[in-house]
Amino acid sequence: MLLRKRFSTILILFGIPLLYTLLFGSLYSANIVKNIPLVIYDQDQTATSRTLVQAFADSERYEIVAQVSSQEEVEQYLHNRQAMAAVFVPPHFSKDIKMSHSTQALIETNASNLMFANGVLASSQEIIQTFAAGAGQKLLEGVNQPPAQALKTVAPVRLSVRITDNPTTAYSNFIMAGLSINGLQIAIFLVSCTLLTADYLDLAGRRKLPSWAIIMGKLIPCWLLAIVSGLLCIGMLVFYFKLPFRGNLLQLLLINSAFTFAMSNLGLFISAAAPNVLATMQNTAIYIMSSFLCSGYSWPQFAMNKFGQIYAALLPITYAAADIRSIMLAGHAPNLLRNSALLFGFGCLCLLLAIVVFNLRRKQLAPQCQEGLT
Amino acid sequence: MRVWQIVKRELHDIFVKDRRRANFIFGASIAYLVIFGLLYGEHIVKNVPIVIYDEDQTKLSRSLVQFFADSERFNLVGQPASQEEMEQMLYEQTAYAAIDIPYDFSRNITAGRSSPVLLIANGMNLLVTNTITTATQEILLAFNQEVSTKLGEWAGLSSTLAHNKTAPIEIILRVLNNPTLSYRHFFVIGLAMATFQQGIFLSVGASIVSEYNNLRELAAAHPWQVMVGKLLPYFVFATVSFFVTLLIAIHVFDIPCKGDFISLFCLATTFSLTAIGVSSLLASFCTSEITFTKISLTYSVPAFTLSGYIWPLASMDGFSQIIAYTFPLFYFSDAVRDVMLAGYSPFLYRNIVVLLVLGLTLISLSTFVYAHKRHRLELTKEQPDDAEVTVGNL
Repeated sequence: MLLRKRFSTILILFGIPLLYTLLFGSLYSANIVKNIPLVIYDQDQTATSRTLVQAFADSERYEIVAQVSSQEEVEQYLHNRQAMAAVFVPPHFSKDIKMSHSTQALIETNASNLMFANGVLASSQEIIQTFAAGAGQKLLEGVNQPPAQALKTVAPVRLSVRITDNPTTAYSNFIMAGLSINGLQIAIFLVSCTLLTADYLDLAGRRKLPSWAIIMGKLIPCWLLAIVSGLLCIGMLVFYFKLPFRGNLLQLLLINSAFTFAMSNLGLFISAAAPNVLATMQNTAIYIMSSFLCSGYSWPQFAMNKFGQIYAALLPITYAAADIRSIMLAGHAPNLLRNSALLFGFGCLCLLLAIVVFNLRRKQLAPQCQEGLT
Repeated sequence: MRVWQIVKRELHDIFVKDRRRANFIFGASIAYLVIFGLLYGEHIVKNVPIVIYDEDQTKLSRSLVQFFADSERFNLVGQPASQEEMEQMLYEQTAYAAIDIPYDFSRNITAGRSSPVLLIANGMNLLVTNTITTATQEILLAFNQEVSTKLGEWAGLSSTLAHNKTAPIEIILRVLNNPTLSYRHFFVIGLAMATFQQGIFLSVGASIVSEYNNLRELAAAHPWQVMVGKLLPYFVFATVSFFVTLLIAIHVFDIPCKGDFISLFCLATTFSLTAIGVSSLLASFCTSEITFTKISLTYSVPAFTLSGYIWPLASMDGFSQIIAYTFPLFYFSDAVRDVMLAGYSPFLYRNIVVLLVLGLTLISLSTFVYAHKRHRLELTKEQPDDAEVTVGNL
């Protein structure tokens, strides 16, 4: 029935999540913001300052778009967005270092888009610190410290960084699972919150069927198709976009089933309770469209205020999206069973409410329907 | 029927007959502004749960632990007593980062040998990972400078000279336009603008779909009069809604606005025109408002994600860049943020011209479609009338 009569439903359930996965998978294929346009104002023009400039040129994070000769030119480049960052090397840079007068290197960056600013701040500090450590080493060699000893005096604590689960800090690894699940959530919502509309309009036609049977008849195909759609999205991420999948299929199946169950039943409950499907779909869209960003998937829950934490706790996607990412990248999700149980529990509650409300409204509407028939 | 009468009819529809339209156009962007303004109330990611496995347990290692404990970026949630315990806390994600200070940390440093400190960071959530790596680098830089100055002093240098020799270059960072790197300043305006677009879509869509369901009512008016009369109120209200949203953003959520009114006004009006054009044309082809709503909601996520507001255009692949160029939000949200945070947008004039041309073209097209559909109705009108007569006679 669903397959024959509801082609548009199938299209939504599969089309939206797969379309989102394809679109955003391509969008984030570069994975990292590279080649940030950089302008250099080297007022020193010595071998030392050129070594620093070369360090920036060698980094794949930057693309030096110009080496200018005045402050105004730097401002002009930044103003026109021909450059997103600037490095200023002051006059006497080399001399000051050699004379053991501390000198400065100024990094200027446009931070209206934090994607640029975060990249610049992290990498430029690293480049300059490495350079400073080398310069400091030479200075201490000058006071009769052997080279190896000098380096250790300058940088007594060395930082080794080990990034787990997403070692290349790839943006697609970070965001794609969530965006696909968000697409799936929107698709389920658009389908399930209109599922009972036709039944309210055709009460006479189905008066012999009990309410629970009608609702189960709607739920099961919708839920099963949503599970398949979710798996196809993750499959596309893994096989087409080459994202890692370190967990096992059962874990994925569990959380995917729980989430699609919760969302399908939430939609069914809305469909059963809403007096006007269109208005309900439009009004609840605020919730459904904002829920991904509020779920703690990108902005972590520990950084949220109380309002954010409470709101996040009410959203089904909070219990699914981060877990799916964790299964893919880390091979496990620490709260998988708890979260799956919560989603199934929430789904059952919505299902129960949907049956009760649908039953009540059918009884209310049945006499009107009878009158209409007679 | 004159344009003014159609405007009056539309105003009645917006505020009396179908109040949803007023809610969409005035409420959508404000609702998102409030939700995300509150959500990003902390501005930056702070209190990242961290554990420190201090194998050394000396004065020097405890001083490094104190550096981390004092940082507002981190929340020291535990000091495990073994490597396994540390790994377990990372595995269970009770901590997102761990610092491992080796057992010979202090001895190595005082003996003039450098000592490694291992940072293990969870890389799944890049917002958290960036905070961890940047804050750790800053903390260790400060710690290194303090320790190396002392080492220099032990080597017989004066305090200032030791500092200058061990930290010869001071890095000065000048962060333009969003100096505190506030996530709220960066993100919230774009989200509110994406919903602003959605509000225009839903209200105009409702109006156009209802008009197509009732084509005969305005049959006496010229198609241009109908479209201008119907869309003019939405254009005015959208512009008002834009400025109300910005005023709330500025005065309630403390988002700075360095730009001028004229730039914002030009952006708001041209974008409203384009959004009205897109929605009126799209609604012309939808058989019901439900269908229109479904398409509109589906479009909203890619519209924002591909608008270049977060992921910059230069880092997109060719396919995504082409799509981005076709989205009205691409010419709007980034420019609004630029005008607000930086006081100007380098692409202001280009964006305004593109939006103006796009808006006028789309509205012309939707008027053409309306005229065409009405013409077809007029052609078929005679046939049903004839049929009615025939049925009546029978």
